[in-house]
Amino acid sequence: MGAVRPMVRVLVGLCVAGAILAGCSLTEQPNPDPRAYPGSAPDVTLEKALNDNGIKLPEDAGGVRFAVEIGADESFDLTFDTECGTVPQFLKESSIKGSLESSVLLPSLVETAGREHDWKLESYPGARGIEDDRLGSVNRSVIIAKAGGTSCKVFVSALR
Amino acid sequence: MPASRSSWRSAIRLQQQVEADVKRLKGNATFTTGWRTTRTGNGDANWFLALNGFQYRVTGSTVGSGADKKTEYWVQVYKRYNWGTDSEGRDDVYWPRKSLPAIHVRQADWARLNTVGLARDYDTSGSAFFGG
Repeated sequence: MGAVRPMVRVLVGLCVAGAILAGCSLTEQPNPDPRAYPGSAPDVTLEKALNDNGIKLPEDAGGVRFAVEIGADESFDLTFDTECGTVPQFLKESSIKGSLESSVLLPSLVETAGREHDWKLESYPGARGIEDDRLGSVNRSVIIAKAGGTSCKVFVSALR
Repeated sequence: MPASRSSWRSAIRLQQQVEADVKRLKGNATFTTGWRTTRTGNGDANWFLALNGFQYRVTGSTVGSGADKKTEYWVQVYKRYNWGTDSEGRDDVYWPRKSLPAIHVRQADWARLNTVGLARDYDTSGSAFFGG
């Protein structure tokens, strides 16, 4: 009888530990990539999102941040810094057909993403944008803004 | 669809976008944004899963003169949801999450629900007038 009690305690302890682990595993995990915004889909890597949305990052891209949200559509938000001279190549390699335009209205998809991720788009008065560029079933919008010197900030938002 | 705090966040997201557009365009005798794309964001599961990306358009005009001058506008929204095709490249559906799914529906099966008539594509549309 005396040997049974420790065994029961061990079994109860294992059950409790198991329940805690199971509970933890059911809670949403963050995306492990430090470049991902909080709430980004945990299982979608930057590489997959870039590939799915037909976006090719310039080699010198820095300050990369991204978010993927999966609902009725899958959305992909991306921002990075690059030399302004690489922008035409970035647009070409990403098969973006529209041309950058200075307009009273900036691309609304990117503006909406900007409010979510605190991109402060209003602080770039000379920003140019491409609204609703389509690649197959993917709908993409882009904003390019001068960030000082020869550096540019690129903001992309896509739905598919 | 009950109006929860998070559903108001989704509505406010559109309201902020519309207000930003109107702020830039008002003063013109008439104006339109043309159809533009935006999204609800995932603040509210109902809006996010049913709609997420959608189209909207703001058309308006400046009426009156002097101190009575004001801007009136219509906001229209539209979305067609389709169940997709296997070749479209959409992700499979997982719940609660991909790495440990209790439910996993392949995109091919998801699309087949529509093919065999168990699920229908649907349109969402609406409009509202501001001013007057």
